[in-house]
Amino acid sequence: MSWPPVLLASIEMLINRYLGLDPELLTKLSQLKGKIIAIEITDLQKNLYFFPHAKGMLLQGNYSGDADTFIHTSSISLLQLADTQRKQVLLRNAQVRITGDIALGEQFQSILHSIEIDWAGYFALLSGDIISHKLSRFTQHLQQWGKNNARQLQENTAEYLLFEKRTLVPPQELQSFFDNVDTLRSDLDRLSARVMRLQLLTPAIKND
Amino acid sequence: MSDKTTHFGFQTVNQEEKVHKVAEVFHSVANKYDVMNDLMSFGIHRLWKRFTIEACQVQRGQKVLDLAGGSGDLTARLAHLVGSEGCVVLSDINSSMLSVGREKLIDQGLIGNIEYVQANAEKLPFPNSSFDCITIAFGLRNVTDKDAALRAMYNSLKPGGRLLILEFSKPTIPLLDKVYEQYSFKILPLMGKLIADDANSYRYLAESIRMHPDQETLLSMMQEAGFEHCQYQNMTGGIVALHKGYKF
Repeated sequence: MSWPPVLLASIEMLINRYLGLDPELLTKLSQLKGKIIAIEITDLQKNLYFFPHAKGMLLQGNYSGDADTFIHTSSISLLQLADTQRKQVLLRNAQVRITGDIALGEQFQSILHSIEIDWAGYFALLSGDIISHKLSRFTQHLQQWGKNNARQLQENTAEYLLFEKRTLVPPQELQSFFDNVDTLRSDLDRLSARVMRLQLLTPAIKND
Repeated sequence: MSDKTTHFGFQTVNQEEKVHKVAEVFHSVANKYDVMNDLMSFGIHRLWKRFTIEACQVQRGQKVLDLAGGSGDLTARLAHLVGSEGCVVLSDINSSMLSVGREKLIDQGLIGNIEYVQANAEKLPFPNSSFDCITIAFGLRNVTDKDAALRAMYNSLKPGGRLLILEFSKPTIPLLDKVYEQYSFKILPLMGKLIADDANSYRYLAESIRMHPDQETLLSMMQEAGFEHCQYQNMTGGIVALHKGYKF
């Protein structure tokens, strides 16, 4: 099944908007002009093909020719690649694998990774510093308010499921259960060792 | 002058007269063509064209003909796909449309692997077996002799090459058909009048869509021209259809 055209068009437009606002990154990308980079999303069994050019990237869901490099990853890992700290862990654990032109793959991945726009800076160019600063403060407050509410909602949901509905088990009870399982496993190991020892001794007793 | 007649919208005109009338329409709309396309289709024409490009299966190094390519929307994407080793020929019968397309592509920095040819689709000036792929988007309905154009495209394709025709077609959903008819004949000419100050050209557009062969008829025309493995896919409830056929 191919990607919906509207999804590809939206992703392409977003990436190119970002790149249009970051001339330095665009220069880096234009060095890859003429190369074809494929991202294979293993769990979805779908590919995305990127064609970098001087003004951004062209994105295709199908390409019948050969790509210069393949970045193999899962959809979850692809989303996590946006997180700088997670990136190295993912690469080390081989959750992201590059085949073909490895250097090109890493270069492209680093470009995708660098898509971080200073929105306030660019908005200041259009609106002036004062409005930009006020908008930036408002956005920060809005983000903080959103985070607080999300945390509160998480805590309330957890409390309801744990103590009122009793759908979930509290972590302490769960830990105690795991400890009991560990103890049982150790007891079982000891018992099986004794049984084996007895089985070894049984022929000797019979012979006596 | 030829005695053969054809359609120009709902009018029956002499074949040569149609060529001149269509040329007048496109000379008139060339400068506002992109804006009007976005407004008339609510931007959906970009998705139809994207779908067409995905279906082209064009590879790096191949040679593609974008026939009746006008403002160069398909050429712009195809040029990236074929790369510097490949080539896209943007062709249109109308010099104004070709000129608008060329300026737009140069402004986008697309140079080196694009050629521009003013040509009649019925008499293509290319040697046989020249192209890996031919596209014609929203152009075939303006061609006077569609059968001759299909045969010319067949001849210009290499064995294994494919033709993709993106064109307005017959809506397959009854209610949509009614809404679309009202939109085409009432709103479209009004938009043409307000934005491009040219209601007649956009009335012709609506009429030419109505007179264009439906999905099955176009499919059989392609087969008669020699294309094999012909198929079509409706988009937006059949308002537009993408026909594809191969030369083996």
